[in-house]
Amino acid sequence: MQHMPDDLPLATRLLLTLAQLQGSSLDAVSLPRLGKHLGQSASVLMRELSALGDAELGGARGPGWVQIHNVEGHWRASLTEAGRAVVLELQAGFILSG
Amino acid sequence: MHEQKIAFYKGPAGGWGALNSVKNTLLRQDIPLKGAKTLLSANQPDGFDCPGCAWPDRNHASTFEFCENGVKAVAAEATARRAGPELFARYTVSELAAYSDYWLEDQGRLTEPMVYDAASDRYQPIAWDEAFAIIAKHLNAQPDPNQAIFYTSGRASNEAAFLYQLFVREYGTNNFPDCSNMCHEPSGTAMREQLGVGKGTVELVDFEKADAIFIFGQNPGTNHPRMLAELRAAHKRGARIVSFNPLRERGLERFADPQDKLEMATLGSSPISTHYFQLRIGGDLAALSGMVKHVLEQEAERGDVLDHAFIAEHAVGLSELQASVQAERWETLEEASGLTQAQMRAVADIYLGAQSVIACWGMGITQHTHSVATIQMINNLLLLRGHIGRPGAGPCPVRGHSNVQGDRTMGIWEKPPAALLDRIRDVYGFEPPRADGVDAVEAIKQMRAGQGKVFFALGGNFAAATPDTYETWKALQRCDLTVHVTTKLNRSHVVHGRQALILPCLGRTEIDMQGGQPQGVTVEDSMSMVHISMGINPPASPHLLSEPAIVARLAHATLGARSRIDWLGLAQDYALIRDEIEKIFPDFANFNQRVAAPGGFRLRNTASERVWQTATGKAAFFAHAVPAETAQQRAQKRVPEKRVFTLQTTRSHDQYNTTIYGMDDRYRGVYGQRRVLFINAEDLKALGLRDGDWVNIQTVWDDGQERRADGFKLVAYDTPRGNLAAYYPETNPLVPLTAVAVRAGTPASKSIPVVLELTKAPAPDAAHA
Repeated sequence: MQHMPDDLPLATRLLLTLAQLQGSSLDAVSLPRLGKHLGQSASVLMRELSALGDAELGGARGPGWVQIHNVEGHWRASLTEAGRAVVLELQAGFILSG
Repeated sequence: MHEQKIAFYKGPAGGWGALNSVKNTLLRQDIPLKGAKTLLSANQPDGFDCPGCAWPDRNHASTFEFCENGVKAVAAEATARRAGPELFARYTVSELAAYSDYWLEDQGRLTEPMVYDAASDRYQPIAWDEAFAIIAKHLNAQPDPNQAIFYTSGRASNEAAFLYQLFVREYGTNNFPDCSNMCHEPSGTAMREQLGVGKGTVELVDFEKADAIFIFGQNPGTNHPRMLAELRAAHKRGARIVSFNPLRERGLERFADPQDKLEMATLGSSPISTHYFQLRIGGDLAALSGMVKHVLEQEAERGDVLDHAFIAEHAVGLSELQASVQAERWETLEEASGLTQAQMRAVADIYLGAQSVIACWGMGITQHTHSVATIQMINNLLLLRGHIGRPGAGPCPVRGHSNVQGDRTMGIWEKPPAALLDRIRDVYGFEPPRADGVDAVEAIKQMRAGQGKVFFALGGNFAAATPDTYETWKALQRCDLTVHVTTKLNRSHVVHGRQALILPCLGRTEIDMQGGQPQGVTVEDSMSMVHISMGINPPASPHLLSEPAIVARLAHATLGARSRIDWLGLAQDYALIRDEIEKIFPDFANFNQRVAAPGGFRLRNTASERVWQTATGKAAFFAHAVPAETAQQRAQKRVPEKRVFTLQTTRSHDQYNTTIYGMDDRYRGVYGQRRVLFINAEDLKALGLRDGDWVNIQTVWDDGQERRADGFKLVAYDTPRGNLAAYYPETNPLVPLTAVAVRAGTPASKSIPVVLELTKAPAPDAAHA
């Protein structure tokens, strides 16, 4: 994947980074690893992941693009099918504009 | 079922015991162990502020600070359990009322607004708009706005508190009882007239510079665990730490820092107090008077003991203090304090030998009838050698709930200064009420007399936190409407008015989305640091509203077109609320900009600059004689045939204010139970009783009213003879409404005259209730 511009919104960077780290295996990614790649604290990451998940926040249900799971005591995030479709669109956008 | 036992605790405060307790707490709330630290991202720069105590963070801008009781508070909020409509369909309110406070809170997070249905004796779901319409109808029906009472818990954020006081004042009353009334009101009362500020002057960095730290009536191991790390560090670099406490408390003796890998690996620990004085309950004023007397005697001998330059430039009233203290006899001071003259002189010598002195205090000082006098004597001692307004020195009242200080800063005060009301009038164009409102105790009296018709509580558990429990319950039950904004079920929801509403709100750990953006709220800690708090977890239910949103929608529903304030607009963006705060409080200039900095900012504290906003423009010494007759002595005269004890109410280690997280009190060796009464072993013998016997407790007071709390197991404990201790809220029924701090109105819950009567052990089931 080509280098992401730094001024992209965090949500976009999070989705693209998650797709990159998951790769073709689609294995969920640990939160510390995701945070390290994005340079963000756990608090910011959790808040963003919550907003991109399917929780209802401020009267509106989230888009359901990511899931957070607890696997053997470790918190991990992964893209849902809808999330992967969004990433494909984002990546296509980069290729077209890049 | 909890296993009940009494077992001496050998370990230090903190350490592996704390970690084990955290593990059990998280498991109980169905929160996975590993990774919990991520979910519990308290006190990170972009995270939420711990909803527990008000002790500041060593470095709010960096790491998670471990604290056992903070984890308990966060875990209680992040619990996977839910108290939804199905719970209320299963139980009538009468049935719920039969359960313990612990059980009620343990049902989990409330999920929907509920309204009481008298016909079925159940709470039923109600839409938010309907709930606000009911409250507005009641409020607007009152012929006098002073018939409504608006309570505030110290958990409410600055933004919620600011909107709340603005709404209530536009509605037309200053009836703002709050939890300050029940804790540090005497500190504010004493210090405002003495130093010109109602808050402590020290910052956390001062603990690094102090070479003597005096701790009066405070148990940081349970109530402010993170303070132990500061005390441990001070001890390690040689500072003298002098504790005054009737009870031997493990947290004041030894501490193992769970964040210190070496200490944890070697099962090591560090001492906390260099000196520990077990004075009599309420004996602090006498002990302090003895210390001041010794200092002044030394000054008379040597002439170079006092800070004469400081006193000449900054203080008034020394001669009156000298005369008063000289008149005190050492025998009187010894009798009242429970300390010997030699002990008082020795501790005063520690004071004289220190270059920089901090004095801390908690509820053990404030909840007495003479608490204002005691606090002024603490400050007298500091002033004698200029220990205010310079590095490493100053007064440090240690507050309880996380934003109790901030709420008062925001104007939650039943006695608002005229300048605040003038400012509100000038900015918002309405004339706020000028008459003082009622405090917590007066609110109870007003409701009990039928003059308080609507009771609205922004958080808290008024029915459990207040004194004279059954009188408080009668008061609440006489109201036309009681409303509670809350996260979990508690006693105040099952002891209610004729109509009642439960309004569930977001917790501080949860994402507060308004206008499509996550919002942060601000809080002020015990040392006047203001910082922002942003939740990270999805809300426990989609039906929850934030506290600012609840207040704004209530104001909109109640005031309607009468108000010129765009309530709903403010609730859409909390930065706008902070802009409004800035308009009223000059100390909050550039609020949004300053609070955006990691760690936030410190509010100005004039006394720490040696600027004295008092009547004389100087700091003031105040003379206070040791009380000639205590409540215990008066009670003894009333019942000369019985032994009258002085009972203090206290928290267990598994407790924060009225919230009971568990049934243990590890550091005092109590497990699986709460109805215990700590008593001196010699007193047990003198009464012909044994450790493990059961007693009923009865207050001896002068109003002829019977106050009793039955069924307490006696536990021999290291405390002075004649003194007792037991947990609240179980013992709150023993605290008379008329037993309050002079000039502050705070319940004197730490000095209740009581007698004991032997009773039978309760049946096993009852013992576990």
